[in-house]
Amino acid sequence: MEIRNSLGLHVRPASELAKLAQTFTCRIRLVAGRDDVDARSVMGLMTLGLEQGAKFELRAEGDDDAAAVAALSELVERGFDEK
Amino acid sequence: MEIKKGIAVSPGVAIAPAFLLESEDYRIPERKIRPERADGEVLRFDAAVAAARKEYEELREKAREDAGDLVAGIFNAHSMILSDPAVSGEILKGIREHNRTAEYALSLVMRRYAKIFLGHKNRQFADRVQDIYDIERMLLRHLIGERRENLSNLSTEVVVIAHDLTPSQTAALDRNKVRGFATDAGGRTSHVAILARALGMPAVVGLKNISLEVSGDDTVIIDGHQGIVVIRPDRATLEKYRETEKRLHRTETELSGMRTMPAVTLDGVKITMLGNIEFPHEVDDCLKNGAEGIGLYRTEYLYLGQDKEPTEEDHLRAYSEVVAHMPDKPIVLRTLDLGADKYLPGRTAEHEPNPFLGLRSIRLCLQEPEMFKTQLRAVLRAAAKGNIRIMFPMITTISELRQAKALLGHVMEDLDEEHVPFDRNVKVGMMVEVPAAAYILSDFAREVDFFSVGTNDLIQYTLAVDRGNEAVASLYSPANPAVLRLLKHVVTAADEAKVEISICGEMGGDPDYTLVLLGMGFRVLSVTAPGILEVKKVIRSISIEQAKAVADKVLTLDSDREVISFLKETTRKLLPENF
Repeated sequence: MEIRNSLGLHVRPASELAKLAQTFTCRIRLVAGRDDVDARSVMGLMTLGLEQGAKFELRAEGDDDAAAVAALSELVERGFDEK
Repeated sequence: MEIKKGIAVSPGVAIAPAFLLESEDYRIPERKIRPERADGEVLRFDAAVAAARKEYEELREKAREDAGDLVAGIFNAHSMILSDPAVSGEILKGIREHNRTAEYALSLVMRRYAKIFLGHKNRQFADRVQDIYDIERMLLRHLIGERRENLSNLSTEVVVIAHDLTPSQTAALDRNKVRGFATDAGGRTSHVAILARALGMPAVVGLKNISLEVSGDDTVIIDGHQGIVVIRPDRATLEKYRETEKRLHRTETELSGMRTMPAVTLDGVKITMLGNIEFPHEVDDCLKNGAEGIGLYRTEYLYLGQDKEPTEEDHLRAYSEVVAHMPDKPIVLRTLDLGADKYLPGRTAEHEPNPFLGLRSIRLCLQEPEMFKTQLRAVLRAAAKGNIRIMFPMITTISELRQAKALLGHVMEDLDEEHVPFDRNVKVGMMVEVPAAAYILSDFAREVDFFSVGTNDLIQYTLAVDRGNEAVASLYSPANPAVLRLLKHVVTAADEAKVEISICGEMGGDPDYTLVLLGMGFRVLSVTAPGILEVKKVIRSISIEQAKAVADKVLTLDSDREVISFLKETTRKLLPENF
């Protein structure tokens, strides 16, 4: 996937993503290059420093993994409701 | 273990837990716990998190009322970080698996993240580091609460780590507990450097981001000789430095035997040792080491870090305190030696491209006569209570000297009219630091009561080098042949004119150069308190005849390197126990 919004994965979108990830029970990881973080961790997401256009992968494993991936991708595609 | 390199500004070795000085002065009281306390520690941590979360909610509500949702939103982020499973997971692991206190565990984790954020090229991400510090402080506040320590009431020995240290932060520090300093910012002439040298403690500055690398209470080694700081040393490094510390302590003990010894050469020539001070309390250290007076009392600190210029009473209070510590010995007070660009409170001076060659020191004072008169009035009044002498810095021309003396005359007239007591016969001298004055010293000799050579600036101006500029600092050397010959010229001219001359720059306190300076003809040295002992040791181990031979030889050499190696060889022969 790719980051859409202009400011990148800064604190606000990272919080949104983490909050959403926490509503699911499966394991969710966000992988970008050599970094691999728990999507539930705001801090972890921010350390990636993903800017607009940065590419990454969402990996989920568990009961509701399909739903998780769908919801999270949609959030990213919407650019976290930012410009 | 991490090793950081900075600028060594005060020699010595210190090994102690770090006291991280930030704006709120939180010191982590302990690092480790016994394993059975882990559960209790986890409870403490959870309680602190809950309290912090509650506080964030209150802050968010208030922010929402005051400034709207967008601003309030930042507290959401902080709250989320508090509940971040990765963060709390690491902290709890630190508590349970590594037996750390909640404070130490949390601090280590936060600093680790801070370091990652600072590494981001994107400013936006890098700035998030402030959030991390805020959260760390918030949690520490809830954990530590009333047990806060600051520099004046420490319970154990520490080394102080900070971004920078201001005079007000260090004003009341506990000298028995502070062992050394390390800062991100600063150079050879910054406050922490001067303070550390005066206290005889190691200091390393210019480390760029040491305050981020160190967690409160980490064991830190400060190596003030090599300009190295070691954080969380491994056993081998710790042992090595403990050995060095022991060796230095032995030397110090030997040196303390010098305290009451007179500064007399083997062939009976007396050298007058004076002290360099900045703060009144340093007078006692100088006296303890055998100083016969103060050869340089720097007064700039009265202006630094203040909101407004000091008043006449502010000056008088400080000077009177110095006199009180040393009522019967001479004190040479140097008038303001700063530049306008950085340091004077309440002034927006234009940026000078070459401040060192610009409007500073006596030049500034002569252009701002009201400010200068304030200081002069206070000095004259203080001179009525003790043996104070006035010294003008950075004198370049006879005309400047005459102007300064004329102003002093006006001030005396004013004080006369106001019937305020002062010393009419105060002795007036000048610093020899600008080459122009050094070259024609005999002309100046007719118009002053004494000279004092400011070798630091004299060397910089003569060699056209800024010793604070790492790119060229290696050019700066007291052993440079031109510098040595200029010094010889200066002392000879002063002797011929029968005007007292002393050295008050760092070179005077450097035992490597004592032989040369004495051999050239200098008989009065003004140095920092610790320097007094080191230099006395050399003086008592040599004869003036030897010194003269050394000086004569050195003045024929044509490179710093030859000079330094000759001096080292000679000192090795004359003082074998120093090696």
